[in-house]
Amino acid sequence: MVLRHLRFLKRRTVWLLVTFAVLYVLIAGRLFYIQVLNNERYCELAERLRVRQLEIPASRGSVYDRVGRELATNVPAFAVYVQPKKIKDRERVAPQLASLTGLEESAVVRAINTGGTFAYVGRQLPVGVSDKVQEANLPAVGVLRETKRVYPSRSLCAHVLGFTDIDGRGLEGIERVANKQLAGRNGHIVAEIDSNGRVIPETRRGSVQPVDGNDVVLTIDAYLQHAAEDALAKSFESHSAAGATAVVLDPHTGEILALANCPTFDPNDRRGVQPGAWRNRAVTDLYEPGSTLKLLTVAAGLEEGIPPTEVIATCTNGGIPIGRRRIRCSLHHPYMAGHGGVDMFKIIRHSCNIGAASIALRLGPDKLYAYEKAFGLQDQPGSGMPGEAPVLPLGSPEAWPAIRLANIGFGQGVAVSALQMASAYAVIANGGNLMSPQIIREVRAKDGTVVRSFSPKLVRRVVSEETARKATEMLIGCVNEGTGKTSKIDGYSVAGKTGSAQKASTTGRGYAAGKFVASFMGFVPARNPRLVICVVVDEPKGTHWGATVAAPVYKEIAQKAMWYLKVPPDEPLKEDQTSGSNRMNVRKVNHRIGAGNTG
Amino acid sequence: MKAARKLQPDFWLLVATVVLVVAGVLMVFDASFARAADRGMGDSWYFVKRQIVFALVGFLGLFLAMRVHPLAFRRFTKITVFVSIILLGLVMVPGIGKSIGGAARWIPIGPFHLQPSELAKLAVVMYLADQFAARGTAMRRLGTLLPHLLVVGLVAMLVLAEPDMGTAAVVIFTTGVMMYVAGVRKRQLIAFALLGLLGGAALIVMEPYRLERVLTFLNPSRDYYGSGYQITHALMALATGGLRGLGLCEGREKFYIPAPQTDMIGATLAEEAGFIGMLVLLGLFILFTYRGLCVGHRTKSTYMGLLAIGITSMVSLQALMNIAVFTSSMPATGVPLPFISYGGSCLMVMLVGVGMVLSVSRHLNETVEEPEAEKYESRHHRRRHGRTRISRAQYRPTAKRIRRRASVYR
Repeated sequence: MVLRHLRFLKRRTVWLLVTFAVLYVLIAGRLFYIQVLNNERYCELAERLRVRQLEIPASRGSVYDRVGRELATNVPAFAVYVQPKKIKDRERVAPQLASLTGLEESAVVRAINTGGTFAYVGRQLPVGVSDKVQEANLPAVGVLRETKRVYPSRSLCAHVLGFTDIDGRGLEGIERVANKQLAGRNGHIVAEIDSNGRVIPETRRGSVQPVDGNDVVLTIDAYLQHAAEDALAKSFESHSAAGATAVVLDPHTGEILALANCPTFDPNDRRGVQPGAWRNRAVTDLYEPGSTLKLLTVAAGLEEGIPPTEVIATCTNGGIPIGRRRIRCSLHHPYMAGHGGVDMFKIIRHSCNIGAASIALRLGPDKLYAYEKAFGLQDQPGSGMPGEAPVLPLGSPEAWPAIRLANIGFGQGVAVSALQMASAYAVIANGGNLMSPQIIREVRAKDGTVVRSFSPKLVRRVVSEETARKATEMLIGCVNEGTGKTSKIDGYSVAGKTGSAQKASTTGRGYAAGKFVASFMGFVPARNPRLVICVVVDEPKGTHWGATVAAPVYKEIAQKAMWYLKVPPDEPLKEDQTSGSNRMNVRKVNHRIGAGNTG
Repeated sequence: MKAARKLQPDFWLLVATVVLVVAGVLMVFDASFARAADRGMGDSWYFVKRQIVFALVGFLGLFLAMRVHPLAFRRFTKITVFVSIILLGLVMVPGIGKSIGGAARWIPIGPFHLQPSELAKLAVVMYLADQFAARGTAMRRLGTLLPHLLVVGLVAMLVLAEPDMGTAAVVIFTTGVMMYVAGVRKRQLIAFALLGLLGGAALIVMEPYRLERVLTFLNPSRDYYGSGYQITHALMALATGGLRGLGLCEGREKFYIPAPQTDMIGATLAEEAGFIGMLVLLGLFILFTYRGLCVGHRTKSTYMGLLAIGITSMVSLQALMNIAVFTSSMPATGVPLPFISYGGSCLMVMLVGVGMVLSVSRHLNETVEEPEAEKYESRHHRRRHGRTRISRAQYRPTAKRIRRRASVYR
């Protein structure tokens, strides 16, 4: 019986062996097909999945002020990430990671709950945090190196600098316009990566080194910038204004030495900042210049040969009729009955609307328009900062009715930016040339070699030196005896003009009641100008006069600048009138430059 | 039982085994070295060290089993099956069994994870060899066969419940092979095969992830990031390997395939050794299968024959299944590549099994009486004549039946 069973077994074992042999041959055939005959498709697929170009980020360039103070730079930072798919114990990992990184637990949970293979928990975390996370050695939690853009002076110059996004791409300001220069060129390596995205050792196939970004040197002077921001913020806060701007220019080169805006922000931490605070109001916002524009009208009149001492109009408290309308002056003591007969000096000194309107009417629309244009009010300033407001065209001058012509004469119905006004005043300050405002001084490579340097750019000659000189005298008169007395600086001649313009109504017709733009602009020292300063305060509360709201800002900036720039005083000191601190400053200056005998 | 001269163990079977195990240790090193360190083990040599220990313990088991007479194993058949079933049950007890990746397959004992299903495979082979030999040609009757299939079914169900369809399939295929070799009627074999197919299909349709695997098998790039990931990367490994391979340790896909030192280790081998290397691997398994079946064929005892053939077939089937999976020739299911894949339970049980086959090869000229077989045969007669039975047409010795019976006993 067993023997029979055994025979059975043997016969079937042979067949079993045959079956196995067939199966092995089939499998071998299958292997041959996949590995040798038809391997191209999967080879290509593998290549595509494995071979990667891995970026090596270039270091972003720094931004410096004109004397080399660092305004924007990079510091090493770390990103903490999780691999959600690999996390098994969410309840334990989330609170632990939250306490290590100091982030909110909900943010950690959100990152984990994305469920993918990679999610950032926090970015741009300081070195200390990354060390703690690495020490904890949590599963599926990792740390990546990155760089963080920092602005060491916090909100200083924030509107000019702008900011970058978290990956270092410029979004606003210089960061945006000079992004190409600052960003540099990322390098890369070509290598094979594993399923976690790490390079498999010894699979590097080639690499391109990154080219670091260039440094940008601004025309800004951090000290003047700070002085301007400081002074402006005081007025902005004490008058609960809606906004404020101060521009400081070098009149001879058009370089922007300081540009302050309120409200401001800290580009290091933009959380909770109203987007309005990012706005670089000096270039993005247009306003009606009001009386400050009278200088341009008067300069145009001088250039066209109207004698400066000729009485142009008689100003009474009834105003003068033009067409069916009537224009008036805003009258102050001691001229409550009108300014009387006014020449150009008096127009500027006391800001006489009727006088300015009369000059405009005498020049006619074509000529006035030509001068507005020549002063740069009909062109974008081209400073190199982003977001310059498009020009609001004045329209064809032939079609201007007389009332419009008169209004433009004293600054109504014209929209300008603070930077445009500053440039226009620089024309008078430098003797008649319109200089293109400039914010970037030069671009340097990391090793310090200058890649590109920007020289002052003359746009055009607008008025003659003689005209400029006369207009300057008028502005000095305004400060010494007229509406601009509040800006007087002991020891220096000051040229300036006030402006207190009503704001245009948002409905598009007429003016908004009780809303003003107070401004003051001019240059110091008046007879050898070093700086043009333009201060504009939007919607101050309580008082709206350029003399009370904007002129003190002008004065503070100018005073500090004179001290800082070591400008010798050009007028006798009246010691008894100066305040203690200012006296100290002036004395210091005198002592330093040994210019005591000039006083 | 006749006392006979002991022979030398089968040389080529031992050679094939040793070469495969040594190659396995190298491959485990190769596949795991780069990534073992960051798998929470902190030691690049973690898997290699363990695999070497498993191999040494396994070879110790092999030599012990080789020294022992095959009939000595037979005495432990019932207890082995019993222990296997208990352990398979314990795997499912929370707190004792350990699950990795949703499958409860392991019982942690110190630093070692016991995988009872590996022991169960060997237990089933021992059990079937014992029972089929004992029942002799009576196995050709359904009534004699079925109770044993129920035992195998129980084991298979327990393995399946872990879930571990791959091992369950190995158990069932091996059972099928042993049934065939033991002389079960072809008609019944076909019926069982159909039944098994139906059952398999039902299992696949019941579990969504199994259906997913079948669909992925039909089109590997269907779900690259999900069920197709492993197989796609295995195919890429094969394709990249080409004819000659990238060279040892040069493989790339082991950085993608999860746990490349386990079931998918063949893919790394194929990538680094190429088609030529795979032919060598297949050659080793063919040599192993051929020598194992030869031992079974040459024996003079049905028990020893069935034991040798069962164990050899089990190893060979598992190898074929493993390679079929990573060549996308069958739906993905996790079975280790015998002797090569990392895994202590599997390696040690396999080596002890080989030891048993070698032991059989040392006792080829011994005959073993199967008194039970005679009894079962005669019981058949007794039942026919000793009890009242309703006559049934099918039992009438028709010409066809006489012919077939004659063929059986020829």
